[in-house]
Amino acid sequence: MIKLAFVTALLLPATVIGGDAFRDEVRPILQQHCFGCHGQKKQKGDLRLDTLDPDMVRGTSAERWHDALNNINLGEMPPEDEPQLSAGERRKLVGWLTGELQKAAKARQNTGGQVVMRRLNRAEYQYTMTDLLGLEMDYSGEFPSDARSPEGFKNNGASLNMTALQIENYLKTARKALNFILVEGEQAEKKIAALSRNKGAMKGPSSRRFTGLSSERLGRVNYWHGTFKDLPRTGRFSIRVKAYTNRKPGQPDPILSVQYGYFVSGLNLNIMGDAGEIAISSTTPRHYEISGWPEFFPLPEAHVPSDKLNGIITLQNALNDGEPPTGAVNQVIEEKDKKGKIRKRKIKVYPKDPDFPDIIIESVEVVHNDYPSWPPPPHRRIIREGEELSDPQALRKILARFLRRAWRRPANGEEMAKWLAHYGRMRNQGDPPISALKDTLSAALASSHFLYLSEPFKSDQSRKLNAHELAARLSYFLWSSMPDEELFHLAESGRLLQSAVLQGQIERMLKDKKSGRFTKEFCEQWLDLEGVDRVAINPQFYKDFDNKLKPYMVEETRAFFGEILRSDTSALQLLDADFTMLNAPLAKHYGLSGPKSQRFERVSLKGTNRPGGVLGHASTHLAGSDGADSHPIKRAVWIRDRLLHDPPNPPPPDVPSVEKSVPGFEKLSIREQLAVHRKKDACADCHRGIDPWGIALEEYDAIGLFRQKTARRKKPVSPATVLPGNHEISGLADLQKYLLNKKRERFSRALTSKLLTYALGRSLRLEDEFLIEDLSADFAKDGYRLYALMKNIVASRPFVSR
Amino acid sequence: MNQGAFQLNRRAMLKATGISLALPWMESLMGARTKSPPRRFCSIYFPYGVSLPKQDGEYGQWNWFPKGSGRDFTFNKSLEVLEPFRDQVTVLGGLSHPKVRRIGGHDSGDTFLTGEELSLAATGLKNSISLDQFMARTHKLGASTRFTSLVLSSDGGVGMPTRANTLSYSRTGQPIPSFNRPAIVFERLFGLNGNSIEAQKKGLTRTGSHLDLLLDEARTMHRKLGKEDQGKLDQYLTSVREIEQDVERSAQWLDVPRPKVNAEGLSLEADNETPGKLIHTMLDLIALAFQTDSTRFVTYQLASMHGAISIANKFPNLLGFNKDAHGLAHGAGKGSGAENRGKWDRYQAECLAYLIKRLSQMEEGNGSVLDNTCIFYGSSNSKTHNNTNYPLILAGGRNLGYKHGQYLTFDSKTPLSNLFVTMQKRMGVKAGSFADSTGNLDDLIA
Repeated sequence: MIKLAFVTALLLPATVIGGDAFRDEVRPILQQHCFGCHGQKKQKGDLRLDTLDPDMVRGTSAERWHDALNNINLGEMPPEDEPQLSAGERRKLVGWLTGELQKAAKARQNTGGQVVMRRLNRAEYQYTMTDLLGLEMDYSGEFPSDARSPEGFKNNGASLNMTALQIENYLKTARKALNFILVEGEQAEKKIAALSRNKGAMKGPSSRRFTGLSSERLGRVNYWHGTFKDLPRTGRFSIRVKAYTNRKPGQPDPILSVQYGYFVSGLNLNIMGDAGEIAISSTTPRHYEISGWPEFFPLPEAHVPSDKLNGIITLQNALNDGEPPTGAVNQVIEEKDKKGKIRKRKIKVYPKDPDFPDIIIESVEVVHNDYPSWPPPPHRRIIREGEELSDPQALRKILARFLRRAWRRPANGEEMAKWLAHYGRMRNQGDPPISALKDTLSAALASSHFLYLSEPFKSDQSRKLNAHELAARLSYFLWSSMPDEELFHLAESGRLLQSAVLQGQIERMLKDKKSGRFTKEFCEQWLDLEGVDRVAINPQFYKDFDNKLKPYMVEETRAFFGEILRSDTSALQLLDADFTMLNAPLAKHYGLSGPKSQRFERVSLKGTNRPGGVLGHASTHLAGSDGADSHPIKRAVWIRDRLLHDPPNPPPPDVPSVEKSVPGFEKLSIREQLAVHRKKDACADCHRGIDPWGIALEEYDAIGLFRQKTARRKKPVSPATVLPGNHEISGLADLQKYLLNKKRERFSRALTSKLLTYALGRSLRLEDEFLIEDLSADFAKDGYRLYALMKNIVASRPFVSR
Repeated sequence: MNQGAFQLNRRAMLKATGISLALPWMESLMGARTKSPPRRFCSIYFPYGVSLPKQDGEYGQWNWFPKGSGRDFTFNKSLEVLEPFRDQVTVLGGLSHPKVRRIGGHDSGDTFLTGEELSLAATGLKNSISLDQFMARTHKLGASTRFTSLVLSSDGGVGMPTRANTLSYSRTGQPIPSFNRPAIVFERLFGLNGNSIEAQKKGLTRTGSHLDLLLDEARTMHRKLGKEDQGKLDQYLTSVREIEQDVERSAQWLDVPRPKVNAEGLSLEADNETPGKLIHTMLDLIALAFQTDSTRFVTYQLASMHGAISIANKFPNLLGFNKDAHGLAHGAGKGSGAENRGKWDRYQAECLAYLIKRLSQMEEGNGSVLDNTCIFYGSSNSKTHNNTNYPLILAGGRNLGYKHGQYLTFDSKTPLSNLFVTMQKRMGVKAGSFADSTGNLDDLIA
């Protein structure tokens, strides 16, 4: 229908459109069909048309007229129970609206009028610092969370603010990282400490995390633990574990989980942090290694006598196949006490599970001052072989190289002079060369050039991006981070501005594993996956629910989107698909089988009852619940906002409460309560268009499982409902069919709009509407493949200009 | 490497290491510098209003507002927990921000301390300065402590306009990010800095030079930008200048050791999965911040006003109330819903009572920290969606001249800002107006 409207518009002779045309031809139609509800007496939906300025070019009314056009095109206005527009009226009205809107859009293309400069958000800062410095570390842990734009995105320039607290953090964090990276003098002597297993049980506050006994065979239960002397306070260290697995063919790789920390003897105090996880795939002994800095882990702050202070390492088998550990059996053993007397002691023994692969630990070592080379690679990224800070030429090179990468463009002469002078100032204040460099570089990482993606222009008008700006836009779109060397080279030669080169880069970048960041960031923000964290599952109704499933539910949706993107198949699968992405615990939760570990894999849903697409994901059901029962309105608003880009208006101020006027209202099921809402005039206008979308999902409870009764009141659920436009449906499967058949274009436009909003880092404007039209038409032609859509977005005018 | 477990273990570590007692204000080094005890302000906000069934109806006991009026009133069940502090509190009914009545019911949280009409049409969703910042920054009452103010919430950061995660706004109406992790608040207030004073001084000098350069660079950039971008960069410039001032102040504070505070018993690892611990630890930290005179201005938003956006929406669920905050609010009009909602009101009032109790147990001068602290507690809704008749409580501040032990009601003509004028005056602000105030409430409460 949308398509039709625009085609009609093009057929209209231009002369019909104009001020008089409005008065003579359009206003009478509005008068007849619209003013009754959107005029002097009533302003349903907060819209009044009789006083709305028909001059969209000079006036500020274009957005509202555009809403009106959309509602007419969608067939939602006039309402079905009111007289409909005749074909002629519709043509005149839609023609006028479309024509004026096009004029307004055109006029605005040259006036700009919105912030384009945007600060790196928390995630982008984290990724950028990691890529820039080559050091994995938590850069953004202490940063306040970022503001969301009205569309729910966290990369919107207008919404992202700057405060003193943040700049303080930028300076502090950069300096901290550079302290790890830039080294002086000779490498401190490598020291290797071999640990032996402590055969006794684990004691101290962290012990709760460990079940079973101390052992070198790690299965569903049991753990390995040992201590070492001379806990390092600084300098890179590695934990080296020689291990193998007794995995049988068909069994998954067990996963070694390593904790590192300190142990104060006498106090039985063991404080540990997670050092990481490694899949143990070898069935013969080999070395596995994890490295880090002591500062990443808890360190004792007060003075502890060194003979009491020990390092501690613990190992567990973290493979999760969804099965709970077998229960412990009591056993009586005999052992000799210190005096050699034989005593009986009761211990807990865990029966061995033959289906669960063990990890067998042969040896554990800690290597202090363990660097792959000296100076270490991240240092060499900044100061190359043969470069000395005392040599002004070298210093200039070092600084220029760093600033170019940090600022995503070369520093100009004036800037170079300033920053070299700053280094000089630091030296004069008595800083040794390496410290002066750390200072200078950390200041560069708190400068506006680094923190903002800016495309300076001495006017708010539009202009083409230069190659460096384009490279940055592209890399923040697809990688949430800075450009890599290849992009830098293409930007410097200017070749990136050639469309074939640009298209080739998109292809390359999407295949790079850094594109996983796009999947994560875009998918989380678009589908508001954080919603899962905002709901607490009520244990009264879900006794056995394990909260560890919540992050897995989020991962299902993220991985599912990633799989569609990676396989370059139709994005309509987001609405319905014959597969999903699951790991063992989540598959078990759904009553499906296949995955054998916590790793996510593609699972076919053919022949199962599990619905496909995001509407079938537990993340959707859980976020759209109150922790006990479904919350149909939350689910409905989510569908309309996120999947159809048509969010209902927020509840008006001081909405009258229907509850009191209906006796026994509180005893009704939610479905019945909503039905009452829809019957009341004050509520009906909005709720008729909201509730049914959520009711269709009623058969899925707060934890994403099929249900027949509600959790609280044990009322039977019924997902049958009537969608706006009098479409009767009988549940989720029908809703999916309806979306695919009738709302396909709407969904395609919605996804296009959301993706474009994310790519541009700003809210969309009226003049973008026609681009969305084109992009979404091409999206359909290209079989709804995201690669194709993303390529078209990158090639579009708003993306390559500011 | 993953460092997730670090925060979790911090408490135990502090327990084992930082054993030393808190110094009350009178004994602290700052105490010697100031003559009279400091005056302090703390605002605590909760969303969605309260349970308001008819006072004489079946569930009347769960109406948040007391029965009676003036000095002759009886607390209903929700506020009953304040009975032990009857002489330290005043309950206020009928007040609201007149301009806020024009905006959406769920949109008023941001304006609790500002009174601004936060709508696209009126202000382009731009807020104005909040009462705490007006006193602390504009009138420099926060200048004599290590921290000008402390901004706390359950969600952290700033959120988004109309659903902000902060109660505090700067002079230009910028939201000030809030802290939501006790461990970080503790570290900031009382954290140990291992470096020598000499090294710290040098560090501050260095930071000072960096800031000069950053300002210089940003100003150069500013000249190359269009108007819209310039507006964005202004935030950066303002922020850098603010740190410059903070650096100067930090230099003055260098010789004053941070107060030594015993972390024993503080659940610094608490997070949004353990809301009871989280809220009480935050209240402990507020009390400690006041007791050590680390700051005199605190705002704390218990939750933001949107079920779909606030992480704190699930708190009632986790605390055994069987519904989330939004669900309790919407159910409040339906029969026994008033009681369910009322029980949550009571829980929140218990939190207030806890803070009052803590402060009252901290001796200061001839009285307690509570006597020198004005607590302003309440919501910007009466019932959900309704921006009038805010449920409000003033507590503490006897030495500031408050006449407590009253339940006062006002008609809708009295703007809430009139109360703000009285509060700011008692704190020592000379200005006789705030936002849309038309007078003050001095006669009634102070």
